[in-house]
Amino acid sequence: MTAPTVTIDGENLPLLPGESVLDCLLRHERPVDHSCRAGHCQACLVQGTPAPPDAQAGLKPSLAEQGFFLACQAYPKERVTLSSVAGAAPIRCVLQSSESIGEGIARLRFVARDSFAYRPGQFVNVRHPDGALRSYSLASVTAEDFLEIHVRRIPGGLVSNWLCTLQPGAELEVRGPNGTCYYLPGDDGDVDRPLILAGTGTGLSPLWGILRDALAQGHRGPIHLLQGALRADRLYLIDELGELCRATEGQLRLHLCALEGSDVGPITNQPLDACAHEVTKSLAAAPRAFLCGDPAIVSKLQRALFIAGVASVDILADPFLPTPTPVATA
Amino acid sequence: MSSLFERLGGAPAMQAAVDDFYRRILTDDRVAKFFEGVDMDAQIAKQRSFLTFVTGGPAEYSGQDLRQAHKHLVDGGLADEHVDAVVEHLTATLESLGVGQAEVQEVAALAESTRKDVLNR
Repeated sequence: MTAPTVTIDGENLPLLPGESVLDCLLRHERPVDHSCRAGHCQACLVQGTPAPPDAQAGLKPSLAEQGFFLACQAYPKERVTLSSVAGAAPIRCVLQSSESIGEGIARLRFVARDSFAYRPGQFVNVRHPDGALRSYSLASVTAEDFLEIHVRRIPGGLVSNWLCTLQPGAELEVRGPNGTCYYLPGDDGDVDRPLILAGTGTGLSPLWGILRDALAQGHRGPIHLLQGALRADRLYLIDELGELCRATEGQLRLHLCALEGSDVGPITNQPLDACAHEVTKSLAAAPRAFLCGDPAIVSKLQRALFIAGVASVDILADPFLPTPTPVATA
Repeated sequence: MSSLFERLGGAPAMQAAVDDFYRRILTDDRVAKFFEGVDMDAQIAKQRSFLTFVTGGPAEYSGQDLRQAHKHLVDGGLADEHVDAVVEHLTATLESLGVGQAEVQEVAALAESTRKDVLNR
């Protein structure tokens, strides 16, 4: 058996002990797209043989079959020959509109130049002109003729600040879609089961897509949407959600939780996981749950729902992992 | 004779058993603290291979892996009483599935055989 090596363009790059394929490529000044380094964002998709099976977890079967794997999760024990580090093909898009929809949150709508199939709630990786990638969830539904993302402007954040300065007509490149946190009608009877959609911050963006997609696909069971924020003024889309509550005649129920400056009107200062537990306990049937946003809160919610009796397979989680401090590539 | 794993319904039935078992563990103050901040999906996958192993199903489980996986927990105070609690929950899960006493004892004995590796002795 050969020593762990990455072979690319006829060149052999030996792997250091415990080094991932991604780190090995970057150490040898081979540029590869990457972002979360946790096997989640799928930005570091490379193609090669033999593909380490552990590095294919969560990939679409069609990609896995073609030998794609995630370079950040690949710790081969032998030689891996890479045929491509270009990742999936980029989708060229044009910005249609950009507006503020909440405290520090912009709603960007853009149109893909090429055909683009996705499920609401999946995410895309947006590329900054310098090459940096960030993941944003799709809040639009497929009947809409644009793609929508919600961008929280992060102080000093390279990609979020750049996105917020873009004017309609600007071009941008995205890759994807990725992720498995989306609504499927499922088996008979699943459309009558309750849904719990819970998230904090822009975790609402995939939930807004999933919610409207579930309704469009004929979901009949009650839907509980739980939105949490540190401060009440950070909650957003309240009017749109309220309208949808009225339009669905009680099928959609809204639970707004803010830890500070709350207990006014419909907003409570109950922690989101406590609220999720209470809602779950009040349900007549076993729910399916979708959890998005801050990883620590998603993890808390996941545990709260599981302990309240929700089956682990019925909990879909999309934690928004932070981008690690960049590693110098040159 | 088929294994208990097969008689319980194989892999599909194991999912419900794993959920029940892990839920009992997470709601038991004696042991829940060892699972703070642990990725639930990854943990459930591990519990599934543990239950598959102790019921005689197809699972690879080496003593070395068990030692490695629990070492930091032993350093953090994992002891006999915690292993006892986990075996207790395993027994309760199997009983709730209607498994007979003789077989529950067999499974408990198999779980017991991992004790020295789990506690890094």
